[in-house]
Amino acid sequence: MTALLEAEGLVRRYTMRRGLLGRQVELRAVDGVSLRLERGETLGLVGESGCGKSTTGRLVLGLEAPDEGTVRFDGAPVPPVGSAAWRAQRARMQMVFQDPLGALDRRLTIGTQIAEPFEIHGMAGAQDRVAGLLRDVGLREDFAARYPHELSGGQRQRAVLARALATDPALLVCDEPISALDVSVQAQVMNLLIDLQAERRLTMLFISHDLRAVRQVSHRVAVMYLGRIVEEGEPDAVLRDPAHPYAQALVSAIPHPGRTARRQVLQGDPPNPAARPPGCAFHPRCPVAVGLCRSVVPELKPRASDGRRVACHVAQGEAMGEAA
Amino acid sequence: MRIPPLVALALAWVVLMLGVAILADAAAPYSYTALDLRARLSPPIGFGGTWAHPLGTDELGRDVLSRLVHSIRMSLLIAFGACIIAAVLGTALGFLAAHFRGAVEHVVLALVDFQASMPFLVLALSVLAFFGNSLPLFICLLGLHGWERYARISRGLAISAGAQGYAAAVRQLGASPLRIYGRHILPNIASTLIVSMTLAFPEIVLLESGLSFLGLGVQPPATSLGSMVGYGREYLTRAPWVLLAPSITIVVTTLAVSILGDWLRDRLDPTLR
Repeated sequence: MTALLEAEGLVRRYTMRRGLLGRQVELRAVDGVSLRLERGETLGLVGESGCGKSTTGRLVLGLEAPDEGTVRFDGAPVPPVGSAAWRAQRARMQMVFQDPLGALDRRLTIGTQIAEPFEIHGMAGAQDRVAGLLRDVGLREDFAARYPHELSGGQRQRAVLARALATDPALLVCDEPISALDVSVQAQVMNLLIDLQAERRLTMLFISHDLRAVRQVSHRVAVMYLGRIVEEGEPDAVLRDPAHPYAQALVSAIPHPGRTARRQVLQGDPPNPAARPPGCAFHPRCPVAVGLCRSVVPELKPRASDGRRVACHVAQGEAMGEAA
Repeated sequence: MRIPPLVALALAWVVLMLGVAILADAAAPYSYTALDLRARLSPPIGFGGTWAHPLGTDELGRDVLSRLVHSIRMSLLIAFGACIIAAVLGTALGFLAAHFRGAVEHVVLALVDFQASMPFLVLALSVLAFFGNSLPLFICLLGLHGWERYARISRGLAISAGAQGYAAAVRQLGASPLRIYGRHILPNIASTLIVSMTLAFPEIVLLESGLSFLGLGVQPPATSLGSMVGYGREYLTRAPWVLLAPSITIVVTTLAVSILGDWLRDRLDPTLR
């Protein structure tokens, strides 16, 4: 059986101009990302803001066409954006947004909006199903008559989730679904996502900058830096023993009660996708970079020792010959 | 639902104006062209006038009240017609630009800039000079006035709604462009468009009076509020009522429309309820 979603070598470039007469600068938001999502699997995608996580999510969903690379959903390429086939396919792949208030139309009631996917895809029995969906996401049925601004942040995100689940999609992309919520509500929404994923055998791409949230929901985790995946593996393994220096810095930034020492602070400028350093994009901030890192781009491949996929010369042991 | 007293007053005035416009033939005591040469420039009641002409008469002895009633009909027809044409045209072009981007957007924006930079009087003069004057043409011509504002507003708001937020969310649900624009974006930006319309309404009334005064708008013997002001100007010192009656009507009507528009915007927004 093929994977539900296969993305190969996705590249998305944006051009931008600095100033009125400035030169056009090419910005590679996503630079050769390959992903594979098996059915019923959750992949967590982590990285700092601006590293291309959200763009990857949009490319995978087919909301934007990649400049290079292909996305195959259920074994077939995703149809061109905006075509009738593309619109029909939306019933099978859905998205949950970071800002639930922005994602809801403030002039329509929650019930109307949850029923909208049924209208769009010509499915019957909207009213009964809306009540069921509201129950599934833990909202009372009378919420259907309310407007988005009358709900709390967590309730809104549940409503957005109910709308996304309306057509019973196979793939759900969650783009920072909890980062706009406060901490107590975050846990509830996370648990809801985990329950729904297990009940409905959903395939999920969970995009977040919160490593602990990703660990809680994901079966596999991928760390992104400047448009590339730098490390991929089991969440527990990656978080206990990160192989890539960037992943190590990320993991050491997770606050722990009682721990004071060993927090690794990254040096240097935050990355700028318009001026990508040659070689490994991380080398200017990397504490263990060697000469090879400045010239050769490391590939994402399984490490010899334990099979962890990592894109780093040092972690792969390729830099052994040189003295660091 | 509670209606504030000011809004109730404005609503009553607009309803009265619409009633007068619809029932103009029955509401006017005389024909608007009927002369009463023995009672030329007779003052209104309260200033020495008689009940025969409650608002007085003009220089030809025509009853000001009757002319006012017919002017209201004419001016409302022109102003509402032109407002609606401008709003529909501008919003449609704005949505087209926002949806297709690229070349279509450049063409629409070029048209918008052309319209905004071209003195409207020049355009009006040339169109009326070439095609002659008729009421439907005149309404369509005034409908070209101000469409660029709706185009700019609707394009900007549609783009921002599409880049992030509810329109993007509905799009990725698989909705057709018709549903996205008709069901979601249009109701959401309607409040801004309505306010824009209530601002444009007085402008169109004034533009119509300006053109009528130049002899390019409503042609005598037909009458409008603007042409009444224009012709009454000559008698401002001797018979100010000829000019004041239509002027006050213009001011109160435009004010009422503005108040109503403001209230309507708040009512249409569920978050302000």
